Amino acid sequence: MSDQDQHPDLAELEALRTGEAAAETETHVRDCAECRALLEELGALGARVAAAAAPRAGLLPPEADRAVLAGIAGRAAQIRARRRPRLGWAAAAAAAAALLAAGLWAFARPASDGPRLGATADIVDAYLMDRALRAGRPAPKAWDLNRDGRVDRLDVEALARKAVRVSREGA
Amino acid sequence: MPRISDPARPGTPGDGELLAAANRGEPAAMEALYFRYRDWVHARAWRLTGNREDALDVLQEVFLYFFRKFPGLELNCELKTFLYPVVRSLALDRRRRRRETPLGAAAAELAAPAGREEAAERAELSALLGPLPEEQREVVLLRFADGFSLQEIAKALAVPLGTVKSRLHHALGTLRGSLRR
Repeated sequence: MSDQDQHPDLAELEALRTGEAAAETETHVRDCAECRALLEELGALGARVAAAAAPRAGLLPPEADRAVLAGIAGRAAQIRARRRPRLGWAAAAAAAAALLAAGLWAFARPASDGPRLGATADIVDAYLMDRALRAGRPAPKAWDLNRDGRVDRLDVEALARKAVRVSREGA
Repeated sequence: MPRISDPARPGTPGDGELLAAANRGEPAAMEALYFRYRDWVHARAWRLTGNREDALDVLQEVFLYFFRKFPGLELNCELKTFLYPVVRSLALDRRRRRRETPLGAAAAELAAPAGREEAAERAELSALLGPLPEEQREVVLLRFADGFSLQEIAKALAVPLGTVKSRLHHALGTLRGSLRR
């Protein structure tokens, strides 16, 4: 507000147009014909500036786009390339973590040259048995789980089924 | 904040959605942002440089700068409010290099080759705003031609809100006086 006449100054008055004026300004203008007329005048002035400054259609030559569009293509490719290695690293990190976990697990297992056959057998024991057989290592008679007189692939399957059953029961 | 959806164009993504896609490196989103703001940036660049060639250079520099901000660009204001200081800075740099003051002289507004009608319109703007100091002219143009709020002007020009109001008040007073004569 002006100190002299209590009318809002021009910027404050014009701010009413965008709802940025103080509430007291709004109240004042509602009751002040002089300010309402001035507000209308400022509105017309603003419209005249807007019309005079409006961008002209067709100012921009089409070739102006080329450099920017080429820049966009290059930048987008850079961004995608940056994201790809990030995913690659994530996958590599996950694989490394899995290998580490498997290694730790293997070391944490009780020392043994073969699978455990008791109630705590799990699917990894079946894998170990399978690996030992494929490697041609001598198979103890205790591995003949199906009691058919041979230690072979069928015993591996028997141990695998047992491991799954134990796992389900444990869950 | 940039709008997520675009109320003026139902079915088209808003700036927020396009910015998110641009942060993922989607070229279509970057192109959409470019075409959405290209003419606006160019018009401001021309207004600030007063030179057609410089305006085209500024246009390219603005968007190359803008797209270098990706990925990781997060805006807490409208995109125009973000872009304007960039346009302004690059345009003023161009002007300094040319040692011209196009906003200060009506003739410079007409310096670029233009059609008769276009020249007449630019002459009208120059005549209208000619009496204003440059800093007041800029506030008037941002306010009425660009539709910025007072807060947005303050942010775009990096000046206090009170300074914007003061410049606008003095500019409007001068314009009223000159239009009455």
